[in-house]
Amino acid sequence: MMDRDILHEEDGVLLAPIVTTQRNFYYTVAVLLALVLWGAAAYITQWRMGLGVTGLNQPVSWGFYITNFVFFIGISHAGTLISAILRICNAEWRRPITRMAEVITVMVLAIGAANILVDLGRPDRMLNIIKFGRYQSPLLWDATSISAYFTASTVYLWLPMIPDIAILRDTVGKRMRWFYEILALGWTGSKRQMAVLERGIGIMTILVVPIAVSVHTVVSFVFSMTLQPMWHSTIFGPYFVVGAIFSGIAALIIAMLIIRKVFHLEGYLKPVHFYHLGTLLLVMSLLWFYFTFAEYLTGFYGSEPEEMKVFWSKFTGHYAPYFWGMVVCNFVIPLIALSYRKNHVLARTFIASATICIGMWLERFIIVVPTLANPRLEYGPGSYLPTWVEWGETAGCFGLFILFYVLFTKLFPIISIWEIREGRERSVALVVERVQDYLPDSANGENAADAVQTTEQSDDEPAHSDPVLPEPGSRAEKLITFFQYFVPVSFTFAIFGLIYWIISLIFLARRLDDVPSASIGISFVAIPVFLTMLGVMWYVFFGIMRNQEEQADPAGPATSTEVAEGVAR
Amino acid sequence: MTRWGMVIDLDRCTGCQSCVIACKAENNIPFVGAEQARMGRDINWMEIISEIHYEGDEVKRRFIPRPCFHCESAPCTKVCPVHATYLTDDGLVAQIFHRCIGCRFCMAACPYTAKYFNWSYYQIPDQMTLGRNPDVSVRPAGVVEKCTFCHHRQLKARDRAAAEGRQMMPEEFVTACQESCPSAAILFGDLDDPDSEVAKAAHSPRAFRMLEELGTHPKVFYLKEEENIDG
Repeated sequence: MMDRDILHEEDGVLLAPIVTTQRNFYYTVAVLLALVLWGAAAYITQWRMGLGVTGLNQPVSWGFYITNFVFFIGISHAGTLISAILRICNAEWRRPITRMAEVITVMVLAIGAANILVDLGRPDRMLNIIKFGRYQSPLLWDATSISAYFTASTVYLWLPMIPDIAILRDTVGKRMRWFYEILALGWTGSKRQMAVLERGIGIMTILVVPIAVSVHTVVSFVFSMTLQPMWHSTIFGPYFVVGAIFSGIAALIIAMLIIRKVFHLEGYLKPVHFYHLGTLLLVMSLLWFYFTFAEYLTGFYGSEPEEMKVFWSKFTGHYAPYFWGMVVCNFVIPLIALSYRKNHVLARTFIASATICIGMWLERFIIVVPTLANPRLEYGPGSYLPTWVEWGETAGCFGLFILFYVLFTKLFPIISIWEIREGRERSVALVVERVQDYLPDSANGENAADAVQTTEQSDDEPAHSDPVLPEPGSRAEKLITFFQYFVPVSFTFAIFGLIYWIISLIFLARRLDDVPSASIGISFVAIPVFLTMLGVMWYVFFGIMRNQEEQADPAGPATSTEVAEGVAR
Repeated sequence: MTRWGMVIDLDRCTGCQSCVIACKAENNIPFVGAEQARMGRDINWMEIISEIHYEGDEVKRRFIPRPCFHCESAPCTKVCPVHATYLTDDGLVAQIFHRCIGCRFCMAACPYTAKYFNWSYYQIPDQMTLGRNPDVSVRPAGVVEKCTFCHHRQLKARDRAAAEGRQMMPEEFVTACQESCPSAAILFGDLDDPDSEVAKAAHSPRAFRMLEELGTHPKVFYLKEEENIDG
């Protein structure tokens, strides 16, 4: 009963998917589970029979799995990177979008990385990468960069979620209470905690951008570090990053449109959001076309025979349908759909995003396969026909991604409630202030900024009802305390383990006198990044904890939690 | 330091494929069966590439036996994530079958497509088992394999010489393909020894290497056909 009441409060609709379960939810989960099962069946077959059950063969030794790997890692740039950029730019319209974007990253990164493991001929020897890893191999750069990005984006997803988890803890019924209690870490919303959290988010926002860029750069290095025609290209790094952000925005828009429709969030995700993201998408589409054009024109103009074999197989040969399909999906349709967006913003951005998702998958495919299918020596072109196993794995990956996403919406609010509230209270004032900062001074020498009375900061807003914290000394409280120590400690061990691993591999490479040693430099960069993340984790965990000790003197909670208030009433 | 290398005289090569068969028998290379072969999964450590080119109205065909080139700066060893393929001290590109994780990065990186993957477990025991060479390990499924310059023969020759208390003579180490070549088109030996036949042939004006412009420094040299030499 209590649960249902909050739905009528302000922002209650954001909690609706968690409190109530529609029948559609079960249907969706069933369909997705079927896809995942197909993928699982395919993988079990492959595990038992070896890679022979796929369509891979001699020249084409990489196919769907590597394509999926690049594609999913690309999609992952939707989230954390876009959300970080919007936060850094203080784009106020970001507020309902950031959480949805960040979730995509975390889910999809894991799936992308798993595709590499699916691709291994000997998954049972996977741990050789840790034991005998060679930092000269781009695959190890991938492993490092992706694990950094995964850690960073998980932290970056979780940090801004703490206040929302606290809201859930205080309002949503008993069954899941322990779960939210642990994750909220005794959040009360005091000023001090808020300051700690905001600084933590601030550091992560900056940190995440270079990590994200590095991720797709080193993914492209897997191809461009080889000498193969149409792979060995200097622009592959930025080309891949652009493509990644491009496909990421498209995936984000699709997710937003579906969530808006299913959860009735028309009040939060307005056409203007899609208009802005559509602009970004259009820019990325043009940028992508520019890179593609530059990449293929230089190859064509130089017309090295081996390069031309690949080139013509893409332009007029066997892979022409995929290549031209890619151009149409990534450039022609988005350009037409997005150039004129006065009417039907939603429909137009949806069409563009859907075609871009297909087009970018084709792009990854068109990069991976034709080069391998046209070897330099005259063996004749190879062919590649994926079997049900590869289709199953691909379907399973998509199913798993959407399933994770659906389950996330069931557990956590998909739109950041506290950020929306903060926006309601402060963003108009903040924007007015910001604009006044750069308005030219008026004729009588008066500073424009002074002309307007500084809008009242919302610091001294009314305190909300008491957060429902577990009793001191109770089991729940002990559990939280345990968790508060356990997570930073295990995180510390994990990070120092990683650093130890990196250093020991560098020594191994030195001992074996293994060239090229310059590439080892890349691994050094990872160490301070991991240490910074560790610092943020410590800061947030212990920052929030200290607050609890100071609970005795009343620190005014900074966030308003009307929902909790409503419940209390 | 020895640096093993090979010289293949294209003028002498008749394209008879005896090196391919000898290699298959010597190195326990599996027969993958018609269906797998049709999918392009057959394994040939030594393979004859036939190149067709046109001179006026004339169609010319040229046979190029292609082992692994054991490049001095091998693109495949650079990218291996687990030290499963590496350059030995005497210049062989070695392959550790029992460490390989089967990521196939080396196959993608090899500009000569000289590496092969065991897509399934091809070494099924059958009557052929009795014909296998006990000196060469059979490969499990899911690992990459390629020409080793008959490394096991080198080990054997070295051990025999050591047992007899003398230095190993370079002639003692011959590869299976060289041994079987009816027209003696294949030479094998130490490239660093200036008196060896191989080193002399490698310095001949007819000598060239495959895709030399890539800077991989292959240790397999070809001798051009006489008619193709200008001047």
